[in-house]
Amino acid sequence: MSRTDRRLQRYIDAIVRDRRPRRGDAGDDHEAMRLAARLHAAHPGSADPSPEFIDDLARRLRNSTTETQPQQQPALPQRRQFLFAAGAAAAAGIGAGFGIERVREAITGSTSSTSPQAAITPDDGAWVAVARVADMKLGAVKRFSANGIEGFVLNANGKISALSAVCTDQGCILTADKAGSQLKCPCHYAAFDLNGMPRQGSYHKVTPLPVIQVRTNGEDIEALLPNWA
Amino acid sequence: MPHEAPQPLRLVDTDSAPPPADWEAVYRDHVVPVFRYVYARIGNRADAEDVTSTTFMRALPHLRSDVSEGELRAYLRTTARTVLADLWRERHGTGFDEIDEETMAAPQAAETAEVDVEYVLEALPPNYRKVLELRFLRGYSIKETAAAMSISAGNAKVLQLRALRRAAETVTLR
Repeated sequence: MSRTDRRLQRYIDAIVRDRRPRRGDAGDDHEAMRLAARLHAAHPGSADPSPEFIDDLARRLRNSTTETQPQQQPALPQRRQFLFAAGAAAAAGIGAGFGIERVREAITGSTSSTSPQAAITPDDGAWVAVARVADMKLGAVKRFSANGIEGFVLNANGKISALSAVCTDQGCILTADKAGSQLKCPCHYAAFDLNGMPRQGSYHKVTPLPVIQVRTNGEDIEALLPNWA
Repeated sequence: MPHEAPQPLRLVDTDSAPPPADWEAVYRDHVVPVFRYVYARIGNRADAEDVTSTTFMRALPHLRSDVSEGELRAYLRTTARTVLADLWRERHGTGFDEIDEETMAAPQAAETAEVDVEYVLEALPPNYRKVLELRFLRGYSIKETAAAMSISAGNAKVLQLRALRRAAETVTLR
């Protein structure tokens, strides 16, 4: 192998392993190098940015835009907006369930949806047991399927709530990730936090997951679902 | 058994953060296509992240609010190409900028990449196509490639270089 060959070889090795090639690797074989990059990028699933990167860059951009151009960019939110799902939220009281996580999100803007979150409000509803109180320990995320509704019951920050499990993009059924920290769509890269808000970095623009009303009834957690009786 | 009348436990907070400023919407809409465009040209994640970051850092402060979607895409692409060329020049000398500029209309960089790749591979002799598929599309090591093709590791190394160079002669990459 010639010296040129060895340099291109090193460049290919770096690219195939998804590493930065070093200065001087590859020599003058620019067309071959560029083709190597193009071929590698066609490797299934390798060409998309990670949600972590997208979030992180959004943060850095926010910092730099607010520092350098305060006149053009709004500062951090001065006041929170409360958008209530139709008729559903009055009983919850403003501020209920206003956990650290939500405060953090408000500051970092790690959720950013302009769409209000809808609630599933069947015309003819019935309270249906969907989980046991005893099973809903802190951090629990349980799937249920009842009366035509696919949903999750969750205990995030000590508050029990329920969300639709149907992705608002194309109707695929979401699954909770292993850590139970987000709900992910199997079809695309959409992901929602445990409040049903689209995670920043979702590939598709999606609206928030509809809320399902829940209550405790003795040992049961019941959800207000369409009446199938 | 007596128990309290059922009460809603909690309805999930439906408050949300204020609408994002314009730049953030632009960023969210374009970060994936820009990243793909860059990745297909630089070929590794670390560099692609750096170039994407620099692209948005440079481009966003100069955005007017009244640009069309097409202008915006073209502007981001041009910025990305400039940043790519800078990196390429720093690392490998010349070789990036003399490429003609005309891909701005392509809606998604990754689509362009896939079309190119199919076209490139089809034009090659079977063993060339095979070695490139295994190495790049499947990410096989030299050893695995050699085993899959029943050739020696030394031959696999030589073959991939020949195949890559031959393929590079058949296309003009944008």
